[in-house]
Amino acid sequence: MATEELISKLTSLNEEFASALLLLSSEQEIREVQAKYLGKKGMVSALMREMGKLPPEDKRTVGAAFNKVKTAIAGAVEGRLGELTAAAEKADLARTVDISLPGRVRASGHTHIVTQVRDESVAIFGELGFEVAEGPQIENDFNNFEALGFSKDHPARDEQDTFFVDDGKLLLRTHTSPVQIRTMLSETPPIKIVAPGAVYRRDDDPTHSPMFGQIEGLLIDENVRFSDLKGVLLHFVKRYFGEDLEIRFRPSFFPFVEPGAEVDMQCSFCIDSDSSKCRVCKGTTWVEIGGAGMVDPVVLEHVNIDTEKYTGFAFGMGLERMAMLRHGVNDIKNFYEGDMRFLTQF
Amino acid sequence: MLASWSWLNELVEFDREITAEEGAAALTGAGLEVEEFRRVGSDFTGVVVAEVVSKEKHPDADKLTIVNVIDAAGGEPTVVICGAPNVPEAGGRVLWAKPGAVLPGGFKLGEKKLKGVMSAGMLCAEDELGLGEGHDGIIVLGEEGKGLTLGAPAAEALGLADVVFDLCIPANRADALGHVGIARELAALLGGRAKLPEADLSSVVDTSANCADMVSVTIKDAEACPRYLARIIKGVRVGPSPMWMQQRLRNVGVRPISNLVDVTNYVMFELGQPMHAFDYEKVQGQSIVVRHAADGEKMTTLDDVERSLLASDLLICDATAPVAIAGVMGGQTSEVSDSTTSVLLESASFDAMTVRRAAKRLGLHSDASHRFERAVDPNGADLASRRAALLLAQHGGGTVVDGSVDSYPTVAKPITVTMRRSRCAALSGIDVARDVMIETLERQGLSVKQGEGDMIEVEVPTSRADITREVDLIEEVVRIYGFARVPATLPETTVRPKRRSDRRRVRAQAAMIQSGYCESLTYGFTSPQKVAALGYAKEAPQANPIGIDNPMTVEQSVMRTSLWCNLLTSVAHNRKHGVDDVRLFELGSVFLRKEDGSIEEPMHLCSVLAGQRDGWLRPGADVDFFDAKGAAITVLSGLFGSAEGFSFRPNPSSPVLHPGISAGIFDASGKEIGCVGEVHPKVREAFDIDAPVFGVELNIDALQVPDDAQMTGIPRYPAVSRDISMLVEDAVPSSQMLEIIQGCEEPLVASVQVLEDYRDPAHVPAGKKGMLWSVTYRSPERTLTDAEVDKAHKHIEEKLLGDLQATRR
Repeated sequence: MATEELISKLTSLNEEFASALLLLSSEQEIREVQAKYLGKKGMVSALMREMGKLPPEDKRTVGAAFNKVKTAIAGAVEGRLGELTAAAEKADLARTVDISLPGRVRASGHTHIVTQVRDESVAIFGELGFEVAEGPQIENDFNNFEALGFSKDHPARDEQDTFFVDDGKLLLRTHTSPVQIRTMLSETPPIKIVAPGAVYRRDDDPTHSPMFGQIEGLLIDENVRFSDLKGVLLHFVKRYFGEDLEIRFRPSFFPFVEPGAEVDMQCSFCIDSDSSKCRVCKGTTWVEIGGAGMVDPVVLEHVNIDTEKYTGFAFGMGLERMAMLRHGVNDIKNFYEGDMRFLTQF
Repeated sequence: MLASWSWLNELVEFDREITAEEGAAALTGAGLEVEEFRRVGSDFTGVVVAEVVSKEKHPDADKLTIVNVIDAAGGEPTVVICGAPNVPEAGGRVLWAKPGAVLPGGFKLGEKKLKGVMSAGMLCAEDELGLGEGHDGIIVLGEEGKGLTLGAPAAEALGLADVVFDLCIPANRADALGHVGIARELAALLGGRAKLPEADLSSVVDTSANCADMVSVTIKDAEACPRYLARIIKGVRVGPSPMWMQQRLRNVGVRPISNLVDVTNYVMFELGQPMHAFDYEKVQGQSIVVRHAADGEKMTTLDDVERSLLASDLLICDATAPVAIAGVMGGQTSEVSDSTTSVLLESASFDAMTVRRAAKRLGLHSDASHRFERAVDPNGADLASRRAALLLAQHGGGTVVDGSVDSYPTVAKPITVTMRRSRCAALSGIDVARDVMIETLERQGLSVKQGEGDMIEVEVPTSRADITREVDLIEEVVRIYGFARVPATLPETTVRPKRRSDRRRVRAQAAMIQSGYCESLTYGFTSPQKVAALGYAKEAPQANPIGIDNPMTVEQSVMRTSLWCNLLTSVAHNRKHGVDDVRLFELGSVFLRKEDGSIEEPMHLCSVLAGQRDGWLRPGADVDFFDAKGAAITVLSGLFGSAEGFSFRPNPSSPVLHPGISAGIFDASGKEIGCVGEVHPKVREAFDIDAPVFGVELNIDALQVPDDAQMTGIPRYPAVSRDISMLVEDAVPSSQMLEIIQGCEEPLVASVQVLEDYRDPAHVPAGKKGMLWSVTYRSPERTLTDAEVDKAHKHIEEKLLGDLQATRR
């Protein structure tokens, strides 16, 4: 084959390739066609073999032509692939969805709000070193009343109208305080516990339920002071309800503490607004959150703890009351109906 | 207890002017909480003192009276129509709300035609002025009305304006159940001097007779009745008590009845000493005997009910019969009446427990029993008796027979209590200066005998029975000094943790939440019908719930023996309210009677599921057994790291579930620790649920939560999976196939999974099912070769096909 003929074939191969490339739209096809021209058995390679037969003075010219075609083909391939990638990217990015359709939600469960209150309270008291202790709900008179200073026929028993079991031999605990007694009987001071749990009183109206939750705290050690009780409850209120809230102690009587106090905190509903119309605190700016006091010596004597060496405090709060204050629940019955429309709100 | 601010003010001389608001705040701050603060007698205008000039029946209405009244001496009469039956004769004085008057609630009066006669305003009854509940008739002013200026505004003229405190008196403060005690508290808190009311009988005593000659008092049990003081008032005329007394009684919630009864109530509210007035003429044999009843003894109380008595009841008797149940209620025979002229006045103290038991058993809780139950100071009896006698003489027109009969075998003496200042500081966290401490105690009516050094010796009057120990004095100091002045400190304690926390509750709860269930809390009690509906065998502890002796309702009369009852009730509740998809669980105690009669309260987990699974843009499929089983597995995995080691076997012991669509859950030792399945159709019908319910029950307390999961290495070499697809008898459970696979003990098997349970009749012959299993192989040491996997897989495949007579699919 003459030099001219070779070059002209080479040129037409290049043109042929260029037009073939335009028709291709996948990388695989392009690579296949590329191989058909440039591969070892490809058409360009076949022409190359003819080059040996050319006069030596033409080889240089023809060699340069070959290189040019090879570079052109490789360049065209890269260019075509680039175009295809860009087009694919463009097409990919042009995709849309109807983002207004609902999300595919996997219905989540909910922890009962009273459990949340309980767990969070336990955690906050835990920060101060109080450990959880629990006790049975069906109790005896000694643990629930007698050891706590409610002697038989004590009028303070009236304030805790009691459900009895087994012909009065047992009762449904009216407070979580029997856990104090159980713990003090089985352990020696220092004792630092919180006892959350269900308690029962014969009471039923929008703010009282025959069963409700309480959390009880007890600290028995040397040098425990009334002021420590105030500090612990203040810590709790600030952590649980809000750092801008203060508490106050009002003297009160519970047979198992002396001095005893009702604990109020500032009403969080109206602290920044007109208190006079507040339905929660009824204009008083204070809401009651529980009872507290220094453990009465009579209690310590019942559980054989040295009243000179040890002092201590105890406190109790209603879990539903806390939930009502923090979450605006207005009827205590809501907590116990198992109504999904209520439970899923928290 | 309700207290009147004007009354309190009579009993305390404040060092400076104190408002009712200040008084209320001080009492609340000191532990006598003012729960309600109410202004009374001032919520109206335009009501004046008026005099009836004449009255006649309304011509066209039987019940109406045409009354001519004047509100100025010699003034022109005005016609007012009155519907009350007690319009007084001419000269009687009444309260007239004139046209333009505004009554409580904003009710404005004008002139109005009543059955053809024009009426200018109205004559007022108690309730219309917000003075009390009474609406039996209009207010008619008695003798004291005569001294008032006609036309004077009623509130001012009669001193009606007052503030009523609703006080919550702690159970140990019997002394504060009378105005005097509250006044003492106010004096201590706000600076002032408490005073006792006037009780000097010298101007009203009749020395021609002596009480001791007229009555004898015998106490048979001085413990039950430490003191009984009798006094006699003669020549009493029964009538209404003065307006101011009536008004005070109304303000403290007592309905005025007559001067006799009102005086006893008035003194009780003033001094805290309950009083009883007997008609002296009806007391047989001029004797009073205080004794216990005989068992079964009967008497009729003044509410006309015959009471059957017990030996523990204390009676006041005359020579022949009981005349009162001590401290609880008087009897009919000696009751004072309109014709009573001589009164035997009882001022006594009775044992608190005795009164409490009787009052409770007979359901007779009264203002008197309330006080006796909290212990009445025997040393207050004489003052109260004299005070009542004086008031009766002044307002009942009688004279007081000289002397009294006072049976008081053992005089109660003040006690001495010692307090260490250092102890006070150590217990309270505040250091109160000695002189401040002494002053604080003395203002409370306690007398400090010695105040040297660390010790303070205090004499406590018998009225303060709440103070018997050092700690009570410390409380008194801190209380009056002010709880507000106690700083907030944090304990400096040496406590070391003693318990590792029990994570079962938290983990089980988290697993259920993760499975999409809402936590429910329900009452510990339930109804016996619901327990019965669960179908437990008669002798099972679950069928024999612990009963409440005194339930409030049948629905709450037994303790739950499982969590099913209340949760199934909630399913019904939700579905009735349109919530069809219900997923609830509860973690809580159930109450079971053990064979030895004792009670155990294991913690259970129970879940209920009804309705449909989540769907997206279309309803999801109905929930089934496997949703519930999945929840059970999630919980077990949450508690144990994995549910391996637990097995699900048919025929659980619980009758609550459908026999064919349920499984017992067994732990590795073979103990049944729970069940899962469809709630038995009969059970759900009993709970009125209209759709299948699937549930899980687990005895959490029976689970021994293992040591914390330990890390195993993360696999370094790849796994290879191979499938096995076969046709087997449809009765062959997948657990059996799994056992066969595991039985091959091929060491390279890392996990086994069922991929398909295929029963489409178009492709699977009747009685058969297609099962597709996937077995994953892995070695911790090397990448597996095809040859070794093939060998292991072939072994398993052939074993399955052989043992189950299955065919490849």
